[in-house]
Amino acid sequence: MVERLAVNYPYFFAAVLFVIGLHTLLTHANLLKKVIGLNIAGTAVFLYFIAMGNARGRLEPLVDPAHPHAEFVNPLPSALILTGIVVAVSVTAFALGLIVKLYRYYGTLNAEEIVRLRSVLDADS
Amino acid sequence: MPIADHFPLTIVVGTLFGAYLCPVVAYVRRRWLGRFAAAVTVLAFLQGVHLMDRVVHGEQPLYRVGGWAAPWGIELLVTPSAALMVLVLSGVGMLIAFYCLGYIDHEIAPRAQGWYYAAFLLLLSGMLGMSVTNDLFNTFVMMEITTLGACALVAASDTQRAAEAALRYLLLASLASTMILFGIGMVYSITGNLNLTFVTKELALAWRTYPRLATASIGLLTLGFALKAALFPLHVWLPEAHSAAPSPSSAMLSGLVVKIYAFTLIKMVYVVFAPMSAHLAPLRELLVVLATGAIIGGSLFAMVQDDLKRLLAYSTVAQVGYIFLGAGLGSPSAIMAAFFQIISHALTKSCLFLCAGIILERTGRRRIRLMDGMSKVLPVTTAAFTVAALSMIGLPTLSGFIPKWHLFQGGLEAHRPVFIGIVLMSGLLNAVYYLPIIWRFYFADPRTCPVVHRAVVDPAAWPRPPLYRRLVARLEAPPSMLAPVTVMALGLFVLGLFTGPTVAFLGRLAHSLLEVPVP
Repeated sequence: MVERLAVNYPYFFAAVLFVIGLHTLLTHANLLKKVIGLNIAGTAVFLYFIAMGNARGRLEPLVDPAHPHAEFVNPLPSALILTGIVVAVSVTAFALGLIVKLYRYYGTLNAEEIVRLRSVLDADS
Repeated sequence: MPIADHFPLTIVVGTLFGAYLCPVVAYVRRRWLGRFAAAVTVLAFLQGVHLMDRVVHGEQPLYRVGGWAAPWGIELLVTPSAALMVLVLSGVGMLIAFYCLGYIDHEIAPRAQGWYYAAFLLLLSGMLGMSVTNDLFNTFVMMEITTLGACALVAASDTQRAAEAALRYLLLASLASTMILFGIGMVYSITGNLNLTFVTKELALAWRTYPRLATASIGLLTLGFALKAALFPLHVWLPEAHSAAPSPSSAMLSGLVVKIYAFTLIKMVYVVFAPMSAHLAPLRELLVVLATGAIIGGSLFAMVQDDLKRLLAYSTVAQVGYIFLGAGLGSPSAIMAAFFQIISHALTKSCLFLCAGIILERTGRRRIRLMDGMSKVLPVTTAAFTVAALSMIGLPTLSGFIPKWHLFQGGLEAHRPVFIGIVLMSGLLNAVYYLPIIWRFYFADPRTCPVVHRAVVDPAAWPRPPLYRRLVARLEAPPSMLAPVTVMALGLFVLGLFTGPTVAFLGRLAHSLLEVPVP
């Protein structure tokens, strides 16, 4: 068990990071921290993909005529994660935009505070 | 290669480019914007009809993007279920786009309209892409387009409620996306493929070597899609998001967006993970339990709502339960019921939300107890609403009855007659919150509703139509808004009365999905 963990440590860290991100997103009241948590969870998945494509001792995937039979790492997961990063950036930008909007309305970034203010506003109307 | 062979690609990419052009059209000629977006959806619908026609004639259109063959390139595969989704998405999307022509000025500021239509078409193209793609990572990309488009449609309503609901929706949906991507990564590390056909073949060989990884991946995929499809108790984001959004967005979100995630989950469980289906029995059992919770819980929450759009949103939670109940029971009739429910609820709930939009726009009313006597001023809208509500309750001759009927059969086939009782009870629960609304529309005293009362007592108070457009302007709303709801209400009758072809098609679909011979 320990041996397998020692060899496959990137996967272990990916799982730990994912849980940290999940915990941050679901438990913190601060909206910015929620977005940070989302990004940590996303990064964990990216780490998982990159670790999966990597193989120790193999070359970067550039075909070199001098070594026609060289073994390469798998470039596909890295290429996929490039797309994943773009998606994560756009989601983050959109979320931050909405948070700015909410801050203008309520003057706070605390989700619980916003819920409280909302109930007060609802009771007035 | 004739142009029709490119339809699986062009239906997605054409809509996508239409979305990019919307802000440009808005900048050049804002008057043309609505018509442009409607034209894009009409094109998508025509292509959808063509694809459906080919599928009905036994074809299974396959498109290789860029001409690259299967394990390297991205494949688009129009299976019968994908063709069905494409037809429902593009058809209902088209009707909602027409509705927008008359409605959009009331809730979206002029300078934002280009972006609103852009988000609308992005969402549609993302959903179309999710239905036709045969590639795991492509599913993820299309899903993100769908998610961002859906959140943008909620945020388009420039209110505090909408911003808050959109942010909550965005955070939870992105969390679900992250889980799904994690699951996709695990599938890739087991099988070394992203093409669904190859993944299925490889899983058959490899899943016993990595049973825990395979279980974790289907678990993460299920959790992610269930969160996005608002399966009870993961529905917490839905009521606010669907009710705070502008009415056409609500129709889009409630009618179509939750369905596409449910459909993708069914595809994952029954097609991609088919080799380990014996191993997935606990998962299907979990879906059945949660679906039962959704059917009962969603209806109970809906009963106590006073805001019409919130009530409709909670009703969506309950109705999505039927899809998952059918998917979880997993017998041919139950799967058929799940797909019929996808069609039927797409039409019904869109119709209800669009009617709620007309009521909101004409009278400014959201609260049900202020809608007394509404049928006197909005006869067509309330009639369409009534038809859709009765279909929701499951009145025979309307399409909402058919999935219930097939769920009865599915419950018997799965030797679990208790679900007959649950479906019957849920029909009664639906009646408990839909019938009072209908009663208010038709039989309550309009004097309690000042807007309606003024219009009835003193017709001069109601906006007088200009003389030159008398015939059109005498209608309660512009024809572009009334026509879609009327078409949807009539569609419910057509689906409910002429069930033969639909049921035959769905029967073949369910049998091919479960790989059991057609009786």
